[in-house]
Amino acid sequence: MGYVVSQDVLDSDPHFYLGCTDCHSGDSTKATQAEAHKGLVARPSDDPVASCGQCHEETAKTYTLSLHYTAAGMKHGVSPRFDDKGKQLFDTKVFEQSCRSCHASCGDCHVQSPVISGVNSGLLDGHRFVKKAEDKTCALCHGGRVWPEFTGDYGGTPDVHYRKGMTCSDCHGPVQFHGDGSGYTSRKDVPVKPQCSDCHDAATMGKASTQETHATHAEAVSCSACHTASAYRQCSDCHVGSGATASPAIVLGHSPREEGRLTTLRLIPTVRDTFKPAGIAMPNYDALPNYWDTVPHNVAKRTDRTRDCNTCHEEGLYYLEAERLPKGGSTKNLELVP
Amino acid sequence: MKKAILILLAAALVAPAFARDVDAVVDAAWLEANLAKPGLVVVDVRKIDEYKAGHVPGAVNLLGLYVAKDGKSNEVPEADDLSEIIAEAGIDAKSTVVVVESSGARFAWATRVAWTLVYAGVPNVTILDGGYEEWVKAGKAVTAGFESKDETDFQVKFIDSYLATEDYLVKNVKKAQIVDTRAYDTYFGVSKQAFVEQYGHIPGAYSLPAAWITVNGLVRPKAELEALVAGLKLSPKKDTIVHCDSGVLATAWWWILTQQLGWTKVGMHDGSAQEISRDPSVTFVKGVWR
Repeated sequence: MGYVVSQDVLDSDPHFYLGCTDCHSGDSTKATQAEAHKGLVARPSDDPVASCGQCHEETAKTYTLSLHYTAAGMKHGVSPRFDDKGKQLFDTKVFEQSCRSCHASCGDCHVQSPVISGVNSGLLDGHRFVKKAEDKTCALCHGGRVWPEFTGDYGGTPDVHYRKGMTCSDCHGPVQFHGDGSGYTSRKDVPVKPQCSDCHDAATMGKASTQETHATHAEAVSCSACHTASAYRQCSDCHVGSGATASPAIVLGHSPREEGRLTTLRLIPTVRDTFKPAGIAMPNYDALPNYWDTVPHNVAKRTDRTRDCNTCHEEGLYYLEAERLPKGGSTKNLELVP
Repeated sequence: MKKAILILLAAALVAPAFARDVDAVVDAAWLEANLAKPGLVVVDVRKIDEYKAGHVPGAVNLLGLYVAKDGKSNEVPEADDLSEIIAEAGIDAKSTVVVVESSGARFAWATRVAWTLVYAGVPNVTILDGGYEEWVKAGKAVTAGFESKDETDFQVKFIDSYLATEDYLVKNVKKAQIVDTRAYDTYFGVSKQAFVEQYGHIPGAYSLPAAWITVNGLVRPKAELEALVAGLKLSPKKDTIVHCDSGVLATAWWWILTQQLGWTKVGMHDGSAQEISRDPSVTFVKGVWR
């Protein structure tokens, strides 16, 4: 049986000028495992500043405030549905025990794949510190929807950017991964995010008719409304402990966050009794709709909407309809119907 | 004599033009020897991350040749999209294209890409036997990162006879040789995919599983493949329709029958059981062999 960390790794990665105990504590001078492992820290980068921050000071400091580390987006995404007592219960009984298990330490992306529900797929490269391995890190936490929709693994069309060799970090810069030093409660509040216009100038690209179409729709319609290639996952009926049911669809409706803008919507699986098993009611359930605006990572130059105006203007093929809203859903949903 | 010429002329018009000048399947030694050949394009159809980690030198990554459409899992992209994808890979109608999948276990996915290319009008397409795994096992050179070729002006010219539509299958269900390339328990009706509506198989269909094509990850010798087909008493003279569940496994036998064994009257039904099992005019039979 070989060692988990080989001599080759120790020789080739500059991080190993430090010894094991510099990060993991314990006592390497002891002869027995029990003694050597006394005080062992299995995941040293759970505290980024005290571990990686010794050398990567700025990054570690900003990272402790980032959404990847705090997982604050999960808490604040649902909290308007609770009263004060419910918020308290949610924070202690659900968020800390469930949502926060998704928070990522430095090592979850640079040494091993992230732990999800207590399980991970192990070291990325024999304990080498890996700068990026998106298919083994990003793809695991974002593997329920975004990554497989991006790669076409759910059977849809692969995103045109993926097809051309681009992966997560080609659009999402270090600030999106490590934060900018401010604490945010939602990714929607983060000021610097990738925009299609960072690379594509709608005013000048394509034929004259394409430029005209883009100019006509620019204010009222998001890029993703027309350029999402395939149906993306819509998860419904999430109850604590039982999970949600997913079915794919393209859904177009008013953005709940940007008035007057038609965009792609994704169903949020929280139902009225989702947290009932945890003893938490949602008296303000109707404060939020059951859909959020989303950018499915499944972009194509041509779709049935770009090929034929009638797809939207005559048939309204993908429009959210009042009759198709989830039964017993939020009354806010009606505001999203075009 | 005149009659013979007319018959030959008619046959040439009806039969698809097999202009291939490369074997249907090649090994790592052949690919290594021909890597610098002008017009050769190696397309690696694995995931981007696998490709970037290491690939045959000069290979380009090629994805998106089969897409979900109209409730079916694996369909041909729209003509303009497909033209663009093929052109961006540096392929034109005169290219010799080598398809590289991850391993022999993915042979049918390689043939799905290869079938799409020849259907789109690129006749010289071949498959690296055993895929990238075999290339590495043979100790050949690999390159990491992302490579690209100059875009061509390729426009698809579909060879319609390579594709058997649902209408064509329904009209010819009693006349044509229907070849069911799924596993034999699926054919027999013991199990089925969730997206297929009926258990069993199309009445009269022959069971010829795609899994039989390879052994230890490599394509069987031609004589063995011929023997498998001969054992079922399938005739190259009859119109033949191959299908599976969703248009992937079927391309494996389509590839072998047409490109390896030279059959000229074979159509691939890419809607396959996923589509035909929903057709009210076709009732599958189960619990019986042919």
